Amino acid sequence: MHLSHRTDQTEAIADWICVEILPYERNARRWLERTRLPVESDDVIQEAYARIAAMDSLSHIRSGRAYFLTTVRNIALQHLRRSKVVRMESFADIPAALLLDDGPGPEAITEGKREIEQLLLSLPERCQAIFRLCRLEGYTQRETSELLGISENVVEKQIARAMEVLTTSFGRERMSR
Amino acid sequence: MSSIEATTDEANPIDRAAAHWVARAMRGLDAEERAEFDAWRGADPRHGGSYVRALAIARLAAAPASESLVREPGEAGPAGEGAGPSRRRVLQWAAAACVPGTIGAGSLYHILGNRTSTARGEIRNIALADGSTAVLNTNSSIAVSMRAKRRTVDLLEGEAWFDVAHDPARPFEVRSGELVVRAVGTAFKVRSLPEGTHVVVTEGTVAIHRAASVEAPIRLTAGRQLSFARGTMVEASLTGAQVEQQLAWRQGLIILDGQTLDVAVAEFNRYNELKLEVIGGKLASQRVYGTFRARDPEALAKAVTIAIGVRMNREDLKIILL
Repeated sequence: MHLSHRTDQTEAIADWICVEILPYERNARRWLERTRLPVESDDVIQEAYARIAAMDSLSHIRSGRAYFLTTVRNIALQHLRRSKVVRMESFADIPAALLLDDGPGPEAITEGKREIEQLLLSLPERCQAIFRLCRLEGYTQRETSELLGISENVVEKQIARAMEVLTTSFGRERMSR
Repeated sequence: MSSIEATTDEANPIDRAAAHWVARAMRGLDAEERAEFDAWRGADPRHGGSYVRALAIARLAAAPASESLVREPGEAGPAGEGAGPSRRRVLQWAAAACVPGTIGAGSLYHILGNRTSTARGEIRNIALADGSTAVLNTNSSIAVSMRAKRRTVDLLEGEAWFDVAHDPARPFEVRSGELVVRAVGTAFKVRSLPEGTHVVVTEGTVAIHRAASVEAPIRLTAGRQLSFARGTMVEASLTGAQVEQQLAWRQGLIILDGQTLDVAVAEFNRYNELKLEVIGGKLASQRVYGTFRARDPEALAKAVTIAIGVRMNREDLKIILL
């Protein structure tokens, strides 16, 4: 029972992240980049998500975006202290305001969806079709495998492949430009 | 220092592992995998962070499509993008690859699996993927699931009004506690209360049944309400003004037409951190009239002090009428 409760909690947190955090991840990454700090931005972002995942309740957070950006900033600062390579005063110059006043509004969610859509378009057609059936049309992996006459194993592999592209590319600047 | 640029090309191993776990979790983990997953997640806090992020990305991918998805071939795509498969092409691919006729253009729908909640005092309009609208009242929460053969909304708490897009092939069901309210194309509101559920139909007809029961459903038509509490359903007619009053919250209003003061105060307290409190049974049973902004409890307090001639004490985040 303990496990299933925890699964529910993880699901609830994922729902919340989807709306409150993901749209602003790009912002946070961009900010990290702009600071030119010698920290690993993936580590900082993953740690920020880990802190959210570990919370018992999200109800006290008024603005997910402000919370996330502040958390990212604090973690970056901790990493910096740990690395002991930069003079602290240079970090003190980083304007906190930069974090909070250049953010987009609710349209960021639409923006996030569009980004996912574009990432999906970069996948092979078959992989896309399988992912769309499962994720967008709500078919289960088994239903999808029956529908397409392929094994469940293949369905799962294709979904994992699509998810890999999404998780490793979402929110990151692309090299194309 | 180019660590940031470098990560875009070299896929992050933790994010990749998380992607695989999410794909596996979609079909369910067996006991052995579950243990493996727990070990992986416990090994490094970043693993858990990357996993919830991957889950959230999967959710976002499942949310209703951006315009580029519903665009048909031939129409201009997003600037600079190559022509990827549109929905129709995905469909053609799927149909060609397998069972012709099992999926047609009309049978594929987007699923929106995530939840939406409102904070105290917040009222939110939500466009659902099927073209229906949900308006959430204060402190309310719904979970929406759009599937090929049915549309389901769970009212987890609070109150919501639905304007349902007509689609006889896919019934629209709202579940609240024990009750299931089923519609094809109509408008109605459902409120979840500690003792049961309250339904008001504003347009068309809904069919209501108890989730666990085999009894024939009750048909409730526009302008009627149904209260369900302690295993009993009670139906009643509403006047136009009463329907309007029941739904005034959509405009952020509270309409009082002779409710007792304690009822009125409870209604205001649903929306505000600033609480109203009535001391004295005689005062609590006074009847009040008027249209108020739900977010302005002081207006009610002032009206009451003037109309009934009582005193008002203002404490931090509390207005006490005595």
